Amino acid sequence: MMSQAHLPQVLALFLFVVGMLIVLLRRNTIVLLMGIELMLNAANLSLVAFARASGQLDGQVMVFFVITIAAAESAVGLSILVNLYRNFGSINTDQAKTLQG
Amino acid sequence: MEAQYSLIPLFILLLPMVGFLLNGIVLPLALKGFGRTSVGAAACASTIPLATAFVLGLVAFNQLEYSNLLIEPYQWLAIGELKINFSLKMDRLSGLLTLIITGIGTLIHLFSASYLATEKGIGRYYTYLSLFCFSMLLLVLGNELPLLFFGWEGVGLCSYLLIGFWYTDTEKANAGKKAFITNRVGDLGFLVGAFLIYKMVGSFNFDVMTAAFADWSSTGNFDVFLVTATCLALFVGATGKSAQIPLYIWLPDAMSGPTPVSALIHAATMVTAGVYMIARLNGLFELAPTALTVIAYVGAFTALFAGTIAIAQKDIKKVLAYSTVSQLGFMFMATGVGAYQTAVFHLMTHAFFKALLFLGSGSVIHACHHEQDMTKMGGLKKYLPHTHFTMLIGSLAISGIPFFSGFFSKDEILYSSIALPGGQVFVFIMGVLTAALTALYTGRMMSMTFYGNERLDHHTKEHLHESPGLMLFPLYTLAALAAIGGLFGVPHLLGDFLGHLPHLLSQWLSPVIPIRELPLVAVKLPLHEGVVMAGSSIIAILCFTLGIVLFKNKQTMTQRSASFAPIEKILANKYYIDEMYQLLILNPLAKSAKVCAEVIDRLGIDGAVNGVGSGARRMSQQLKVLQNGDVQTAALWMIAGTALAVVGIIVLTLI
Amino acid sequence: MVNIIYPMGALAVICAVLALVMLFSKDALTCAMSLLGILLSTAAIYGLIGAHFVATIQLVVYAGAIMVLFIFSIMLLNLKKLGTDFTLFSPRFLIAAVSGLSLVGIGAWAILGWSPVERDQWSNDAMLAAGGNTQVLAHSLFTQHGIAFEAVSLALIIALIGAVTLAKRKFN
Repeated sequence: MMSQAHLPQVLALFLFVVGMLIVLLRRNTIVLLMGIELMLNAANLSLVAFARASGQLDGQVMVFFVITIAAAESAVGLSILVNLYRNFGSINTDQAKTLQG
Repeated sequence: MEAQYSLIPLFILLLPMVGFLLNGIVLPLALKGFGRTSVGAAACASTIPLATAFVLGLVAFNQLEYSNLLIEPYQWLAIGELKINFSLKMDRLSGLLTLIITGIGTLIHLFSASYLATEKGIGRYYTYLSLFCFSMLLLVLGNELPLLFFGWEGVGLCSYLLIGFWYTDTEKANAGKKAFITNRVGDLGFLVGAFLIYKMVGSFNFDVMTAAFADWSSTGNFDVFLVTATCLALFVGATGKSAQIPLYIWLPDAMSGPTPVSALIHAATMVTAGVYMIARLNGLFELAPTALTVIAYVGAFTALFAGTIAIAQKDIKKVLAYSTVSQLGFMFMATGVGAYQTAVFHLMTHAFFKALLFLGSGSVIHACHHEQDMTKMGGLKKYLPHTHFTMLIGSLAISGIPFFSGFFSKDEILYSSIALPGGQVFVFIMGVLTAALTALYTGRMMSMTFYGNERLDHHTKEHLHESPGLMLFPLYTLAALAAIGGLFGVPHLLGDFLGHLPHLLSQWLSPVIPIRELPLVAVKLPLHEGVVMAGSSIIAILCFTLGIVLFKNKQTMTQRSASFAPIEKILANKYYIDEMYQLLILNPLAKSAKVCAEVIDRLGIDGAVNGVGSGARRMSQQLKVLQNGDVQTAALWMIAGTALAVVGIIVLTLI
Repeated sequence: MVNIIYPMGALAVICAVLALVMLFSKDALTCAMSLLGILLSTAAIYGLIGAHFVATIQLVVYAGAIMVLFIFSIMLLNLKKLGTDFTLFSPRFLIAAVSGLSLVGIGAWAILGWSPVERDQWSNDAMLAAGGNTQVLAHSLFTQHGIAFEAVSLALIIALIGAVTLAKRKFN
C-alpha cells in the first residue's frame, strides 16, 4: 500500500496539519510558537524525503538552511513573546484584541 | 407681399420691456426698496415707452401699405435640423393688432394712473402691465410659432400676476391661480398642435408654413386626419386662452383683478390671442373643414351659454366678463365658418367697446367707492354724466345698434354663418339668439346702473363724484372709436349705397387672409343680406329697449315674475359648472395626488431609499461581530476557505 | 538489507500520537516535551533514510537549542496551567478539524498516486562510494551554495541582535 517513499510524505502532511490546528486553535502563545516549529519540521521532513527518493542533494541543503532560519525565527519569536507578556500581563491570545472592530 | 428689413418691429417690441425694467428694477434700486415708487413716476415709466411704441406702430402702419417689415436679430435655437430664429415680422395683420395693443394699452395705462392713484404697489402693477404688453407684442410680432408660444405663455403669466395683484386676499390669489392653471391645460393642446405642425411642415416659421399650406391646398397632398387633429389641438389651446367652453371658467373669476387689467387683458388683448392664432394659420384651418365646424359650434354654443348666464348676474364686472366670453364665442363662430377677416374685424371693434365698457364700469366702481353690486346702484345718470354717455355708446355698440361699430362686425358674422360655404344654419340661429341676449343684458346693465330709482347706500351717495379727467380721456377716446370703428368694414351692400365705400379691413388684410366675397343672397338659408341686416338691427333695438325698460326698477327676473326663480337661480350660479368641475375633476385629482404623495412617494420611494440605508446598517451590525480583533479566527477562516477551494476544484475537475 | 518500512512506520505512529498530544494538552510543558519527542523521531527517520547530516543537525540545533530555548521561556514566565484552551467540539474546533482533515485527505490521495523518479545519481551506495552523506553535502554546500551559506550566517547575526533588542528591558 504505502511504500518507503510515501510514508514520510503522509507523515509530513499529517504533522503539518496538526501544527496548523495548533496555531489556529490554541490560546497559549508559547504553544502557538511550538506549533509553528512543528509545521517547519514537517516541511523539512517532506523536503528530505523527496530529496532522498529522487537521489538529489538540493533538498537536504535547503533543509540545512531552513533549520538555521527556524532557529533564528524562534529566538526572535520568543523575545516578542516576552514583550507581549510584559505589555498584556498574560500570554493568552485573547488579550491581544486591540484591533477589535 | 415682400418683406423689407426694418428695425421698427424690434423697437416696438422692446419699448414695453424698457418700461418693465424701469419699473421693476431701476426705480426700486433708485428708491432702495419696492413699493416706494410714486404713482406718477411709475405711470410715466410705463406709459411713455408704450406711447412711443404706438407712434412707431403708426409709422410702421404707413409702410405696411407697400411691404412687410421683417427683422431677424439672431438665431435662437439650432438643434440638428430644427432651427428657430428670433424673427419678428410686422405684416398687415400683426400691424393692426400692434396698434390695438399699444393704443388701447396706452389709454389703459393712463386710466390706471388715476384709478389706482392710492395703490401702494403701483410700481409692481405697472411692471406687470409692461411685461404684459411686451409678451402680447411678442405674440403678434413673432414670425415663428415658438415665439408666439413664448408670448402666449408670457401673457398667461402676466394675467396670473395681475389677477392676483391683491394677493393678500386668498380669493383673489386663487382666481389668479385658476386662470394660470386653466390656461396651462389649454397650452398642452397648443403644444401638441405645434408639434404636429412641425412634423408636417418641418419648420416653425410662419412664412414657410403659409407657403406649405398654400401648396397643400393646391395639390391636395396632405393627410386630412393629421391636419384636422392639429387644428383641433390648436383650438384646445385657444379655448384655454380665449375662454371658450370648456376652459372659460377662469374669466369670470379674473374679475378679482383691478378693473383696468380686466379691460386690457380680458377684453382687448390676451383673450384675442386665440383668434389671432387661428387667423394667422388660416391656411391650415381651411384644409380641415371638420375642425372648422367643431370650432363654429363650440363658439356659437359658448356665446349663447355665456349670454344666458350674463343676464342673471348682479356684479357689473361679471356681466361684462360673461359678455366677453360670449363675444369671443362670436369671433370663433366667425373663424369656424371661414370668415377669418370678419373675426379680426370683430376682434377690433370688440376691443374698442369692451375696453370702453370695462373702463366705464371702473369709473362707476371708483365713484361708488368700490361697490360692484348693481342692485346697490341706480340712478347714477345725473351724478356721472360723462361716464353714462360713454358707456351708453359702448352699450349701443355691443348690442349691434346701427351704425355703431358692433353692428357692422356682428352683422357680418351672422351673415357669413349662412352665406359662406362653411356656414351652418344652426350656428346662425344660435348667433341671432345670442345677439338678442347681448342687447338684453347690456340694456339691463345700463338700466340697473344709471336709470331708475337710486338704491345707493347713504355713505356712498355722499362721496359720489364724476371721475377725474385722466379717467375720462380714455373713455371718450374709446367711445369715439366704438362709434366710428365700424366704418373700417362697411359691407358692399351699404358701401355701394353710400358711394362705393370699400370694405377697408378685408382689403387691408387680403395679403394675409384671403378675401371672402359674401354673396348677396345667402347660400345656406335663402335670405338676402339686407334682410339679415334689417332683422338683426330690429332685434337689437328691441331687446336693448326691452332690457332698459324691464329692469329699470326690478333688477332680477325673479322680481319681474316669481316663476323665473328656479331658472334664475341656475343662471346666477353659472349652471353650477365650477362646482361640477370641482366634483368631477379636481377632487379625484386631489385624491390621486394624495395617494401619490403618501403611498407611492412616502412609503414606496422613500421607503426603498431609506430601506437601503437601514438595511445596510443592519447588515453591517450583523457582520460587525466577525471582526473581533482575533487573528486566529481570521486565520481559521482563511484556512477553511483554502480547504474549501481546494476540495471544490478537485471535485469539479473530477465531475 | 533490512526493510526500513517497519521502523519508519513505528516512528511515524509515535510522531502522530505525540502531535495529537501536543494539540490537546493543556499544559505547556507537556506540549514542549511532545514536540521534543517529535523532533527526535523525525531525526531518527532522517537517519533511517540516509540523510545523516540533516539528522545530526536536527538533533543539535532543533532538539538541542530551540527546544531548550522554549523550555527556558516556559520556566522563565512561570506559567500556571491555563484554563480551557479551546472547548472540544466547539464550532471553531469543528471547522478547523474539518478543513484540516480534508487537506490531509486530499494530500494523501495526491501523494499516493506519485511514484519516485530517479533524477540524480545520489543513491545510498553512490554516496557511500563518494565518502559519505556529510562529505557530499559539505562539498555541495561550500561550492554551489556558498553565497546562501554566508547569507544565512548573516541572517543569524541579525536575528541575534534583533532578539536581544526586543527582549531588553526598556529604559525610559
